Amino acid sequence: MKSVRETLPFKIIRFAILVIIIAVLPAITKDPYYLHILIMSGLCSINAMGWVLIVRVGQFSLGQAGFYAIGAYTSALLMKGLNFSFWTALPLSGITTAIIALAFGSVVLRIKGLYFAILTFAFSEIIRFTIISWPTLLGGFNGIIGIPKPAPLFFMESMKIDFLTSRVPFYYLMVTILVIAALVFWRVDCSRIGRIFRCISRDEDLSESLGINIMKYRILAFTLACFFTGISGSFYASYFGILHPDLFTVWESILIQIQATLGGLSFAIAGPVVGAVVLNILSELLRATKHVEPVIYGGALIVILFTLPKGLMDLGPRVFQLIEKRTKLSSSPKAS
Amino acid sequence: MKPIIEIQGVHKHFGGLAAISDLHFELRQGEILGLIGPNGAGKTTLFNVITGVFRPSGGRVIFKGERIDGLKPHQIASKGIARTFQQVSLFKDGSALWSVMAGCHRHTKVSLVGALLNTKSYRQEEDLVRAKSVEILNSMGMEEWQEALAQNLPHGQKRALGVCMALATNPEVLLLDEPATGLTEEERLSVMRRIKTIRERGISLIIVEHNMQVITGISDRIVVMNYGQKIAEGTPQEIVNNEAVIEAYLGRE
Repeated sequence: MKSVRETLPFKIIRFAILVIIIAVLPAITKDPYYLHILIMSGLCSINAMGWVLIVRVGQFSLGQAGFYAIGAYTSALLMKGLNFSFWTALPLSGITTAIIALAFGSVVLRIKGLYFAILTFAFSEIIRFTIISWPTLLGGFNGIIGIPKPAPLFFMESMKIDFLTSRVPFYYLMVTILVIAALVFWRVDCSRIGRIFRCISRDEDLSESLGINIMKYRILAFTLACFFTGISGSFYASYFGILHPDLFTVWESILIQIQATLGGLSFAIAGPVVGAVVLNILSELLRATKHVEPVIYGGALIVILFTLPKGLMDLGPRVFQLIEKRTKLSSSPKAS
Repeated sequence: MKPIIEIQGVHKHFGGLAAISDLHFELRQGEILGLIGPNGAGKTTLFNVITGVFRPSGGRVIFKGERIDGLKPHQIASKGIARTFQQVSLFKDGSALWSVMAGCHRHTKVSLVGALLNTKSYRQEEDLVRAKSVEILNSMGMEEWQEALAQNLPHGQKRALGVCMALATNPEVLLLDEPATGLTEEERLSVMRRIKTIRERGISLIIVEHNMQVITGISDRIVVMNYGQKIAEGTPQEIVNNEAVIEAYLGRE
Protein backbone atom coordinates (compact mmCIF):
# COMPACT_ATOMS: atom_id res chain seq x y z
CA MET A 1 0.00 0.00 0.00
CA LYS A 2 1.40 3.36 -0.95
CA SER A 3 2.08 5.77 1.86
CA VAL A 4 0.02 8.96 1.96
CA ARG A 5 2.97 10.94 0.71
CA GLU A 6 2.99 9.23 -2.64
CA THR A 7 -0.64 9.52 -3.66
CA LEU A 8 -1.36 11.82 -6.55
CA PRO A 9 -3.62 14.34 -4.79
CA PHE A 10 -0.91 14.84 -2.17
CA LYS A 11 1.69 15.42 -4.83
CA ILE A 12 -0.50 17.96 -6.59
CA ILE A 13 -1.23 19.82 -3.37
CA ARG A 14 2.46 19.88 -2.47
CA PHE A 15 3.35 21.18 -5.90
CA ALA A 16 0.61 23.79 -5.87
CA ILE A 17 1.75 25.12 -2.50
CA LEU A 18 5.27 25.43 -3.85
CA VAL A 19 4.07 27.29 -6.92
CA ILE A 20 1.98 29.70 -4.85
CA ILE A 21 4.79 30.44 -2.44
CA ILE A 22 7.24 31.13 -5.24
CA ALA A 23 4.76 33.31 -7.08
CA VAL A 24 3.79 35.55 -4.16
CA LEU A 25 7.15 35.72 -2.45
CA PRO A 26 7.98 39.23 -3.70
CA ALA A 27 4.66 40.46 -2.38
CA ILE A 28 5.46 39.13 1.07
CA THR A 29 8.93 40.50 1.20
CA LYS A 30 9.64 43.59 -0.80
CA ASP A 31 13.08 43.72 0.76
CA PRO A 32 15.53 43.61 -2.14
CA TYR A 33 18.08 41.87 0.08
CA TYR A 34 15.95 38.72 0.37
CA LEU A 35 15.09 38.83 -3.28
CA HIS A 36 18.79 39.04 -4.03
CA ILE A 37 19.47 35.87 -2.07
CA LEU A 38 16.71 34.08 -3.93
CA ILE A 39 17.90 35.29 -7.30
CA MET A 40 21.45 34.20 -6.59
CA SER A 41 20.13 30.86 -5.37
CA GLY A 42 18.30 30.48 -8.63
CA LEU A 43 21.42 31.15 -10.68
CA CYS A 44 23.42 28.72 -8.59
CA SER A 45 20.67 26.12 -8.98
CA ILE A 46 20.84 26.25 -12.75
CA ASN A 47 24.61 25.84 -12.74
CA ALA A 48 24.38 23.05 -10.19
CA MET A 49 21.74 21.22 -12.24
CA GLY A 50 24.07 21.41 -15.23
CA TRP A 51 26.91 20.03 -13.18
CA VAL A 52 24.75 17.12 -12.05
CA LEU A 53 23.86 16.31 -15.66
CA ILE A 54 27.56 16.02 -16.43
CA VAL A 55 27.98 13.75 -13.41
CA ARG A 56 25.19 11.61 -14.83
CA VAL A 57 27.48 10.68 -17.73
CA GLY A 58 30.28 9.82 -15.37
CA GLN A 59 32.33 12.99 -15.67
CA PHE A 60 33.39 15.42 -12.99
CA SER A 61 33.65 18.99 -14.22
CA LEU A 62 35.68 21.59 -12.36
CA GLY A 63 35.21 24.14 -15.11
CA GLN A 64 31.62 25.33 -14.88
CA ALA A 65 32.79 28.76 -13.71
CA GLY A 66 34.53 29.12 -17.06
CA PHE A 67 31.32 28.57 -18.98
CA TYR A 68 29.47 30.86 -16.61
CA ALA A 69 32.04 33.52 -17.48
CA ILE A 70 31.69 32.90 -21.20
CA GLY A 71 27.94 33.41 -20.95
CA ALA A 72 28.32 36.53 -18.84
CA TYR A 73 31.03 38.21 -20.89
CA THR A 74 29.45 37.32 -24.22
CA SER A 75 26.24 38.95 -23.07
CA ALA A 76 28.07 42.00 -21.74
CA LEU A 77 29.98 42.46 -25.00
CA LEU A 78 26.90 42.00 -27.16
CA MET A 79 24.98 44.55 -25.14
CA LYS A 80 27.70 47.13 -24.60
CA GLY A 81 29.71 46.70 -27.78
CA LEU A 82 27.05 45.84 -30.32
CA ASN A 83 24.06 47.39 -28.63
CA PHE A 84 22.08 44.19 -28.63
CA SER A 85 19.08 44.10 -26.36
CA PHE A 86 19.19 41.79 -23.39
CA TRP A 87 16.44 39.66 -24.89
CA THR A 88 18.62 38.94 -27.92
CA ALA A 89 21.85 38.64 -25.97
CA LEU A 90 20.46 36.06 -23.58
CA PRO A 91 19.85 33.24 -26.05
CA LEU A 92 22.90 34.18 -28.10
CA SER A 93 25.11 33.90 -25.03
CA GLY A 94 23.65 30.51 -24.26
CA ILE A 95 24.29 29.33 -27.79
CA THR A 96 27.83 30.71 -27.84
CA THR A 97 28.62 28.94 -24.57
CA ALA A 98 27.10 25.74 -25.95
CA ILE A 99 29.19 25.91 -29.10
CA ILE A 100 32.39 26.42 -27.14
CA ALA A 101 31.40 23.57 -24.81
CA LEU A 102 30.72 21.37 -27.82
CA ALA A 103 34.14 22.07 -29.30
CA PHE A 104 35.97 21.70 -26.01
CA GLY A 105 33.96 18.65 -24.99
CA SER A 106 34.54 16.81 -28.26
CA VAL A 107 38.20 16.74 -27.44
CA VAL A 108 38.23 16.47 -23.68
CA LEU A 109 35.29 14.19 -22.87
CA ARG A 110 37.23 11.16 -24.08
CA ILE A 111 39.40 11.52 -21.02
CA LYS A 112 38.11 10.17 -17.79
CA GLY A 113 38.12 10.85 -14.11
CA LEU A 114 40.73 13.00 -12.50
CA TYR A 115 42.34 14.10 -15.74
CA PHE A 116 39.08 15.35 -17.13
CA ALA A 117 38.54 17.32 -13.93
CA ILE A 118 42.00 18.86 -14.25
CA LEU A 119 41.42 19.76 -17.88
CA THR A 120 38.13 21.49 -17.12
CA PHE A 121 39.79 23.34 -14.27
CA ALA A 122 42.57 24.41 -16.62
CA PHE A 123 40.01 25.57 -19.15
CA SER A 124 38.23 27.63 -16.56
CA GLU A 125 41.46 29.28 -15.52
CA ILE A 126 42.45 29.93 -19.14
CA ILE A 127 39.18 31.77 -19.60
CA ARG A 128 39.93 33.83 -16.53
CA PHE A 129 43.45 34.66 -17.71
CA THR A 130 42.10 35.59 -21.11
CA ILE A 131 39.76 38.04 -19.44
CA ILE A 132 42.59 39.50 -17.37
CA SER A 133 44.97 39.78 -20.30
CA TRP A 134 42.55 41.54 -22.60
CA PRO A 135 41.73 44.82 -20.85
CA THR A 136 40.62 46.61 -23.97
CA LEU A 137 37.96 44.12 -24.96
CA LEU A 138 37.20 42.24 -21.78
CA GLY A 139 37.94 44.79 -19.12
CA GLY A 140 40.87 42.97 -17.54
CA PHE A 141 41.26 43.38 -13.82
CA ASN A 142 39.03 46.41 -13.71
CA GLY A 143 36.23 44.43 -15.16
CA ILE A 144 33.33 45.57 -17.23
CA ILE A 145 30.91 48.01 -15.71
CA GLY A 146 27.67 49.55 -16.72
CA ILE A 147 26.15 46.50 -18.33
CA PRO A 148 22.62 47.51 -19.28
CA LYS A 149 19.63 46.06 -17.56
CA PRO A 150 17.03 44.37 -19.72
CA ALA A 151 14.86 46.71 -21.68
CA PRO A 152 11.34 47.07 -20.33
CA LEU A 153 8.74 44.61 -21.51
CA PHE A 154 5.34 45.83 -22.52
CA PHE A 155 2.27 43.71 -22.05
CA MET A 156 -1.17 44.68 -23.20
CA GLU A 157 -0.35 48.34 -23.76
CA SER A 158 -0.66 49.60 -20.23
CA MET A 159 1.36 47.07 -18.27
CA LYS A 160 5.07 47.75 -18.26
CA ILE A 161 7.69 45.53 -16.66
CA ASP A 162 10.56 47.76 -15.71
CA PHE A 163 13.87 46.22 -14.75
CA LEU A 164 15.50 49.47 -13.81
CA THR A 165 13.57 50.39 -10.73
CA SER A 166 13.10 47.18 -8.84
CA ARG A 167 14.46 43.70 -8.40
CA VAL A 168 11.07 42.06 -8.57
CA PRO A 169 11.06 41.66 -12.38
CA PHE A 170 14.49 40.06 -12.10
CA TYR A 171 13.07 37.64 -9.57
CA TYR A 172 10.26 36.57 -11.87
CA LEU A 173 12.60 36.35 -14.85
CA MET A 174 14.91 34.17 -12.77
CA VAL A 175 12.02 31.93 -11.80
CA THR A 176 10.96 31.61 -15.43
CA ILE A 177 14.44 30.65 -16.59
CA LEU A 178 14.84 28.30 -13.65
CA VAL A 179 11.56 26.55 -14.39
CA ILE A 180 12.46 26.11 -18.05
CA ALA A 181 15.91 24.78 -17.18
CA ALA A 182 14.50 22.50 -14.50
CA LEU A 183 11.92 21.08 -16.90
CA VAL A 184 14.57 20.37 -19.52
CA PHE A 185 16.97 18.77 -17.06
CA TRP A 186 14.18 16.80 -15.41
CA ARG A 187 12.78 15.47 -18.66
CA VAL A 188 16.21 14.44 -19.90
CA ASP A 189 17.06 12.76 -16.61
CA CYS A 190 13.97 10.58 -16.43
CA SER A 191 13.87 9.77 -20.12
CA ARG A 192 15.44 7.06 -22.20
CA ILE A 193 18.38 9.39 -22.69
CA GLY A 194 18.81 9.68 -18.93
CA ARG A 195 18.78 5.91 -18.72
CA ILE A 196 21.64 5.71 -21.19
CA PHE A 197 23.49 8.43 -19.27
CA ARG A 198 23.27 6.31 -16.15
CA CYS A 199 24.53 3.24 -17.98
CA ILE A 200 27.56 5.20 -19.06
CA SER A 201 28.37 6.36 -15.57
CA ARG A 202 27.86 2.90 -14.06
CA ASP A 203 29.85 0.75 -16.46
CA GLU A 204 31.47 2.07 -19.62
CA ASP A 205 32.67 -1.23 -21.05
CA LEU A 206 29.28 -2.82 -20.60
CA SER A 207 27.60 0.18 -22.18
CA GLU A 208 29.90 -0.01 -25.19
CA SER A 209 29.21 -3.71 -25.59
CA LEU A 210 25.52 -2.80 -25.82
CA GLY A 211 26.26 -0.42 -28.66
CA ILE A 212 26.09 2.82 -26.69
CA ASN A 213 28.21 5.57 -28.24
CA ILE A 214 29.63 7.04 -25.08
CA MET A 215 31.15 10.15 -26.63
CA LYS A 216 27.91 11.11 -28.32
CA TYR A 217 25.97 11.08 -25.06
CA ARG A 218 28.70 12.74 -23.07
CA ILE A 219 28.86 15.57 -25.58
CA LEU A 220 25.08 15.89 -25.45
CA ALA A 221 25.03 16.16 -21.66
CA PHE A 222 27.98 18.53 -21.52
CA THR A 223 26.67 20.87 -24.21
CA LEU A 224 23.20 21.01 -22.71
CA ALA A 225 24.57 21.70 -19.24
CA CYS A 226 26.86 24.46 -20.49
CA PHE A 227 24.10 26.05 -22.57
CA PHE A 228 22.09 26.74 -19.44
CA THR A 229 25.19 27.77 -17.53
CA GLY A 230 25.80 30.34 -20.25
CA ILE A 231 22.21 31.54 -20.00
CA SER A 232 22.53 32.04 -16.26
CA GLY A 233 25.80 33.88 -16.87
CA SER A 234 24.06 36.25 -19.23
CA PHE A 235 21.35 36.93 -16.66
CA TYR A 236 24.02 37.54 -14.05
CA ALA A 237 25.76 40.13 -16.21
CA SER A 238 22.67 42.28 -16.57
CA TYR A 239 21.46 41.72 -13.04
CA PHE A 240 24.75 42.65 -11.45
CA GLY A 241 25.74 45.22 -14.03
CA ILE A 242 29.39 44.56 -13.31
CA LEU A 243 31.70 41.73 -14.32
CA HIS A 244 35.09 40.95 -12.89
CA PRO A 245 37.45 37.99 -13.37
CA ASP A 246 37.47 37.28 -9.64
CA LEU A 247 33.82 36.34 -9.86
CA PHE A 248 34.72 33.29 -11.94
CA THR A 249 37.43 31.49 -10.02
CA VAL A 250 37.67 27.76 -9.43
CA TRP A 251 35.99 28.32 -6.09
CA GLU A 252 32.78 29.10 -7.97
CA SER A 253 33.09 25.75 -9.74
CA ILE A 254 33.65 23.98 -6.46
CA LEU A 255 30.76 25.82 -4.86
CA ILE A 256 28.46 24.48 -7.56
CA GLN A 257 29.59 20.97 -6.73
CA ILE A 258 29.09 21.47 -3.02
CA GLN A 259 25.59 22.79 -3.55
CA ALA A 260 24.60 19.86 -5.73
CA THR A 261 26.13 17.28 -3.42
CA LEU A 262 24.65 18.84 -0.33
CA GLY A 263 21.22 18.82 -1.88
CA GLY A 264 21.52 15.21 -2.90
CA LEU A 265 23.08 13.85 -6.07
CA SER A 266 20.32 11.38 -6.79
CA PHE A 267 17.92 14.27 -7.34
CA ALA A 268 18.66 15.97 -10.64
CA ILE A 269 16.47 19.00 -9.92
CA ALA A 270 15.50 19.19 -6.29
CA GLY A 271 18.99 18.42 -5.07
CA PRO A 272 20.75 21.34 -6.73
CA VAL A 273 17.93 23.74 -5.92
CA VAL A 274 17.74 22.83 -2.25
CA GLY A 275 21.50 22.80 -1.94
CA ALA A 276 21.84 26.18 -3.64
CA VAL A 277 19.14 27.82 -1.54
CA VAL A 278 20.44 26.45 1.75
CA LEU A 279 24.02 27.35 1.04
CA ASN A 280 23.21 30.84 -0.19
CA ILE A 281 21.15 31.52 2.91
CA LEU A 282 23.82 30.06 5.14
CA SER A 283 26.45 32.15 3.45
CA GLU A 284 24.43 35.34 3.94
CA LEU A 285 23.68 34.53 7.57
CA LEU A 286 27.35 34.04 8.25
CA ARG A 287 28.37 37.23 6.53
CA ALA A 288 28.45 39.01 9.86
CA THR A 289 30.82 36.54 11.45
CA LYS A 290 33.62 37.52 9.05
CA HIS A 291 36.76 35.62 10.06
CA VAL A 292 34.96 32.68 11.55
CA GLU A 293 32.77 32.27 8.49
CA PRO A 294 34.84 29.62 6.70
CA VAL A 295 35.04 27.56 9.87
CA ILE A 296 31.31 27.62 10.52
CA TYR A 297 30.53 27.13 6.83
CA GLY A 298 32.85 24.19 6.53
CA GLY A 299 31.69 22.81 9.85
CA ALA A 300 28.06 23.01 8.80
CA LEU A 301 28.86 21.15 5.58
CA ILE A 302 30.63 18.40 7.46
CA VAL A 303 27.81 17.99 9.95
CA ILE A 304 25.16 17.87 7.23
CA LEU A 305 27.05 15.39 5.10
CA PHE A 306 27.68 13.10 8.05
CA THR A 307 24.09 13.05 9.24
CA LEU A 308 22.57 13.03 5.78
CA PRO A 309 25.02 11.39 3.39
CA LYS A 310 22.44 11.30 0.66
CA GLY A 311 22.02 15.02 0.92
CA LEU A 312 19.42 17.38 2.28
CA MET A 313 16.67 15.93 0.12
CA ASP A 314 16.95 12.82 2.22
CA LEU A 315 15.84 14.79 5.27
CA GLY A 316 12.14 14.43 4.52
CA PRO A 317 12.19 10.65 4.01
CA ARG A 318 14.41 10.18 7.04
CA VAL A 319 12.11 12.21 9.28
CA PHE A 320 9.10 10.27 8.03
CA GLN A 321 10.92 7.02 8.71
CA LEU A 322 11.62 8.11 12.27
CA ILE A 323 8.00 9.13 12.76
CA GLU A 324 6.78 5.82 11.39
CA LYS A 325 9.09 3.94 13.69
CA ARG A 326 7.88 5.92 16.68
CA THR A 327 4.20 5.40 15.88
CA LYS A 328 4.78 1.68 15.35
CA LEU A 329 6.54 1.39 18.68
CA SER A 330 3.86 3.25 20.59
CA SER A 331 0.93 1.46 18.98
CA SER A 332 2.31 -2.08 19.25
CA PRO A 333 1.30 -4.05 22.36
CA LYS A 334 3.88 -4.28 25.08
CA ALA A 335 5.66 -7.60 25.41
CA SER A 336 4.38 -9.59 28.31
CA MET B 1 26.04 -22.61 -44.74
CA LYS B 2 27.45 -19.19 -45.30
CA PRO B 3 30.03 -17.88 -42.85
CA ILE B 4 28.82 -14.97 -40.79
CA ILE B 5 32.08 -14.31 -38.99
CA GLU B 6 35.47 -15.06 -40.50
CA ILE B 7 38.68 -14.97 -38.51
CA GLN B 8 41.44 -14.62 -41.07
CA GLY B 9 45.00 -14.92 -39.86
CA VAL B 10 44.36 -12.97 -36.67
CA HIS B 11 47.30 -12.21 -34.39
CA LYS B 12 47.22 -10.40 -31.09
CA HIS B 13 50.34 -9.48 -29.17
CA PHE B 14 50.68 -7.81 -25.81
CA GLY B 15 54.25 -6.65 -25.73
CA GLY B 16 56.26 -9.82 -26.20
CA LEU B 17 53.37 -12.14 -25.46
CA ALA B 18 51.46 -13.63 -28.39
CA ALA B 19 47.97 -14.13 -27.02
CA ILE B 20 46.64 -15.18 -30.42
CA SER B 21 48.74 -16.46 -33.34
CA ASP B 22 47.62 -16.85 -36.90
CA LEU B 23 44.09 -17.92 -36.11
CA HIS B 24 41.79 -19.07 -38.91
CA PHE B 25 38.23 -20.24 -38.49
CA GLU B 26 34.71 -19.21 -39.29
CA LEU B 27 31.33 -19.09 -37.65
CA ARG B 28 28.60 -20.25 -40.02
CA GLN B 29 25.16 -18.71 -40.09
CA GLY B 30 22.80 -20.41 -37.66
CA GLU B 31 25.38 -22.62 -36.00
CA ILE B 32 26.49 -22.99 -32.43
CA LEU B 33 30.28 -23.02 -32.37
CA GLY B 34 32.01 -24.18 -29.22
CA LEU B 35 35.35 -22.61 -28.34
CA ILE B 36 37.38 -24.53 -25.83
CA GLY B 37 40.92 -24.66 -24.55
CA PRO B 38 42.90 -24.56 -21.35
CA ASN B 39 43.02 -21.33 -19.33
CA GLY B 40 45.13 -18.72 -21.05
CA ALA B 41 44.53 -20.20 -24.49
CA GLY B 42 43.31 -16.84 -25.77
CA LYS B 43 39.58 -17.44 -25.92
CA THR B 44 38.45 -14.33 -24.09
CA THR B 45 41.12 -12.33 -25.93
CA LEU B 46 39.56 -13.54 -29.15
CA PHE B 47 36.15 -12.35 -27.99
CA ASN B 48 37.69 -9.00 -27.18
CA VAL B 49 39.24 -8.82 -30.65
CA ILE B 50 35.96 -9.71 -32.37
CA THR B 51 33.99 -7.14 -30.37
CA GLY B 52 36.54 -4.40 -30.92
CA VAL B 53 37.83 -4.07 -27.37
CA PHE B 54 41.23 -5.01 -28.76
CA ARG B 55 42.55 -4.20 -32.15
CA PRO B 56 44.21 -7.23 -33.75
CA SER B 57 47.96 -6.94 -34.28
CA GLY B 58 47.46 -8.65 -37.62
CA GLY B 59 44.89 -10.39 -39.72
CA ARG B 60 41.26 -9.57 -40.38
CA VAL B 61 37.90 -10.07 -38.73
CA ILE B 62 35.05 -10.23 -41.23
CA PHE B 63 31.38 -9.93 -40.30
CA LYS B 64 28.84 -10.59 -43.04
CA GLY B 65 31.46 -9.95 -45.66
CA GLU B 66 32.55 -6.66 -44.12
CA ARG B 67 35.81 -6.00 -42.30
CA ILE B 68 35.19 -5.01 -38.69
CA ASP B 69 38.65 -5.14 -37.14
CA GLY B 70 39.64 -1.66 -36.09
CA LEU B 71 36.10 -0.53 -35.41
CA LYS B 72 35.09 0.67 -31.97
CA PRO B 73 33.16 -1.67 -29.66
CA HIS B 74 29.93 0.29 -29.85
CA GLN B 75 30.08 0.31 -33.63
CA ILE B 76 30.56 -3.45 -33.78
CA ALA B 77 27.75 -3.96 -31.28
CA SER B 78 25.52 -1.77 -33.46
CA LYS B 79 26.28 -3.97 -36.44
CA GLY B 80 24.86 -6.96 -34.65
CA ILE B 81 27.47 -8.71 -32.53
CA ALA B 82 26.66 -8.99 -28.82
CA ARG B 83 28.53 -10.67 -26.00
CA THR B 84 28.49 -11.62 -22.38
CA PHE B 85 31.43 -11.38 -20.01
CA GLN B 86 33.31 -14.06 -18.15
CA GLN B 87 33.05 -12.12 -14.90
CA VAL B 88 29.42 -11.19 -15.12
CA SER B 89 29.19 -7.50 -15.92
CA LEU B 90 26.06 -5.73 -14.73
CA PHE B 91 24.84 -2.21 -14.03
CA LYS B 92 25.11 -1.48 -10.36
CA ASP B 93 21.95 -0.12 -8.75
CA GLY B 94 19.85 -0.97 -11.78
CA SER B 95 16.98 -3.42 -11.75
CA ALA B 96 16.94 -6.33 -14.15
CA LEU B 97 14.17 -4.76 -16.18
CA TRP B 98 15.92 -1.40 -16.30
CA SER B 99 19.11 -3.06 -17.50
CA VAL B 100 17.40 -4.88 -20.33
CA MET B 101 15.47 -1.76 -21.33
CA ALA B 102 18.79 0.05 -21.52
CA GLY B 103 20.03 -2.61 -23.91
CA CYS B 104 17.10 -1.94 -26.23
CA HIS B 105 18.27 1.60 -26.94
CA ARG B 106 19.61 0.61 -30.32
CA HIS B 107 16.14 0.29 -31.69
CA THR B 108 14.75 3.58 -30.56
CA LYS B 109 15.31 7.05 -31.87
CA VAL B 110 17.54 9.23 -29.76
CA SER B 111 15.18 12.11 -29.85
CA LEU B 112 15.91 14.93 -27.48
CA VAL B 113 12.76 16.71 -28.56
CA GLY B 114 10.70 13.60 -28.06
CA ALA B 115 12.12 13.09 -24.61
CA LEU B 116 11.62 16.72 -23.63
CA LEU B 117 8.04 16.95 -24.82
CA ASN B 118 7.08 13.39 -23.94
CA THR B 119 5.52 13.02 -27.35
CA LYS B 120 3.21 10.21 -28.28
CA SER B 121 5.81 8.50 -30.47
CA TYR B 122 8.31 8.68 -27.61
CA ARG B 123 5.86 7.06 -25.22
CA GLN B 124 4.91 4.42 -27.72
CA GLU B 125 8.55 3.50 -28.21
CA GLU B 126 9.01 3.29 -24.44
CA ASP B 127 6.05 0.92 -24.19
CA LEU B 128 7.52 -1.23 -26.95
CA VAL B 129 10.89 -1.28 -25.23
CA ARG B 130 9.28 -2.28 -21.97
CA ALA B 131 7.23 -5.04 -23.58
CA LYS B 132 10.22 -6.38 -25.44
CA SER B 133 12.37 -6.34 -22.31
CA VAL B 134 9.75 -8.23 -20.32
CA GLU B 135 9.53 -10.80 -23.10
CA ILE B 136 13.28 -11.29 -23.16
CA LEU B 137 13.47 -11.66 -19.39
CA ASN B 138 10.64 -14.19 -19.44
CA SER B 139 12.32 -16.18 -22.18
CA MET B 140 15.35 -16.57 -19.94
CA GLY B 141 13.30 -17.59 -16.92
CA MET B 142 13.55 -14.26 -15.13
CA GLU B 143 9.83 -13.62 -14.60
CA GLU B 144 10.12 -13.22 -10.82
CA TRP B 145 13.31 -11.23 -10.93
CA GLN B 146 12.30 -8.27 -13.04
CA GLU B 147 12.32 -5.62 -10.34
CA ALA B 148 15.24 -7.07 -8.41
CA LEU B 149 18.45 -5.09 -8.35
CA ALA B 150 21.07 -6.65 -10.58
CA GLN B 151 23.65 -6.93 -7.83
CA ASN B 152 21.22 -8.78 -5.54
CA LEU B 153 20.45 -11.55 -8.00
CA PRO B 154 21.65 -15.08 -7.40
CA HIS B 155 24.58 -16.10 -9.56
CA GLY B 156 22.54 -18.02 -12.11
CA GLN B 157 20.15 -15.09 -12.59
CA LYS B 158 23.08 -12.69 -12.92
CA ARG B 159 24.40 -14.71 -15.83
CA ALA B 160 20.92 -14.89 -17.33
CA LEU B 161 20.61 -11.11 -17.04
CA GLY B 162 23.88 -10.69 -18.90
CA VAL B 163 22.45 -12.75 -21.72
CA CYS B 164 19.18 -10.78 -21.63
CA MET B 165 21.02 -7.48 -22.01
CA ALA B 166 22.96 -8.85 -24.95
CA LEU B 167 19.76 -10.16 -26.55
CA ALA B 168 18.13 -6.77 -26.10
CA THR B 169 20.43 -5.34 -28.76
CA ASN B 170 18.84 -7.70 -31.31
CA PRO B 171 22.10 -9.29 -32.35
CA GLU B 172 22.77 -11.63 -35.23
CA VAL B 173 25.75 -13.13 -33.44
CA LEU B 174 26.01 -13.79 -29.71
CA LEU B 175 29.30 -14.52 -28.03
CA LEU B 176 28.80 -16.29 -24.69
CA ASP B 177 31.78 -16.34 -22.36
CA GLU B 178 31.40 -19.24 -19.92
CA PRO B 179 27.60 -19.17 -19.59
CA ALA B 180 27.49 -22.26 -17.40
CA THR B 181 30.27 -21.53 -14.93
CA GLY B 182 29.19 -21.62 -11.33
CA LEU B 183 25.81 -23.17 -12.04
CA THR B 184 24.18 -26.28 -10.63
CA GLU B 185 23.55 -29.32 -12.80
CA GLU B 186 19.91 -28.36 -13.18
CA GLU B 187 20.77 -24.78 -14.10
CA ARG B 188 23.27 -26.01 -16.67
CA LEU B 189 20.67 -28.13 -18.42
CA SER B 190 18.36 -25.14 -18.38
CA VAL B 191 21.05 -22.96 -19.94
CA MET B 192 21.64 -25.50 -22.66
CA ARG B 193 17.97 -25.52 -23.54
CA ARG B 194 17.85 -21.72 -23.60
CA ILE B 195 20.90 -21.49 -25.84
CA LYS B 196 19.20 -23.77 -28.33
CA THR B 197 16.11 -21.54 -28.19
CA ILE B 198 18.29 -18.53 -28.93
CA ARG B 199 19.66 -20.29 -31.97
CA GLU B 200 16.14 -21.03 -33.11
CA ARG B 201 15.54 -17.29 -33.23
CA GLY B 202 18.14 -17.12 -35.97
CA ILE B 203 21.09 -16.03 -33.87
CA SER B 204 24.50 -17.64 -34.47
CA LEU B 205 26.54 -18.35 -31.35
CA ILE B 206 30.11 -18.83 -30.27
CA ILE B 207 30.30 -20.30 -26.80
CA VAL B 208 33.35 -20.50 -24.59
CA GLU B 209 32.90 -23.19 -21.97
CA HIS B 210 34.99 -25.42 -19.77
CA ASN B 211 32.27 -27.91 -18.95
CA MET B 212 32.60 -30.66 -21.56
CA GLN B 213 29.11 -31.96 -21.00
CA VAL B 214 27.68 -28.57 -21.90
CA ILE B 215 29.90 -27.83 -24.83
CA THR B 216 29.56 -31.22 -26.49
CA GLY B 217 25.85 -31.21 -25.78
CA ILE B 218 25.03 -28.02 -27.65
CA SER B 219 27.78 -27.31 -30.18
CA ASP B 220 27.46 -28.13 -33.85
CA ARG B 221 31.20 -27.75 -34.21
CA ILE B 222 34.03 -27.08 -31.82
CA VAL B 223 37.26 -25.12 -32.23
CA VAL B 224 40.03 -25.91 -29.78
CA MET B 225 42.67 -23.34 -28.87
CA ASN B 226 45.90 -23.65 -26.96
CA TYR B 227 48.59 -21.02 -26.49
CA GLY B 228 46.76 -18.70 -28.86
CA GLN B 229 46.59 -21.15 -31.73
CA LYS B 230 43.94 -23.39 -33.15
CA ILE B 231 44.90 -26.97 -32.50
CA ALA B 232 41.76 -28.72 -33.65
CA GLU B 233 38.40 -28.15 -35.27
CA GLY B 234 35.51 -30.50 -35.86
CA THR B 235 32.35 -32.03 -34.54
CA PRO B 236 32.11 -32.76 -30.81
CA GLN B 237 32.62 -36.43 -31.56
CA GLU B 238 35.83 -35.76 -33.47
CA ILE B 239 37.17 -33.36 -30.87
CA VAL B 240 36.65 -35.64 -27.92
CA ASN B 241 38.76 -38.29 -29.60
CA ASN B 242 41.38 -35.91 -31.00
CA GLU B 243 44.84 -36.67 -29.68
CA ALA B 244 46.11 -33.11 -29.79
CA VAL B 245 43.15 -31.99 -27.73
CA ILE B 246 43.57 -34.70 -25.14
CA GLU B 247 47.24 -33.84 -24.89
CA ALA B 248 46.50 -30.15 -24.42
CA TYR B 249 44.15 -30.82 -21.53
CA LEU B 250 45.81 -33.76 -19.89
CA GLY B 251 49.44 -33.44 -20.94
CA ARG B 252 51.54 -36.10 -22.63
CA GLU B 253 51.39 -39.64 -21.27
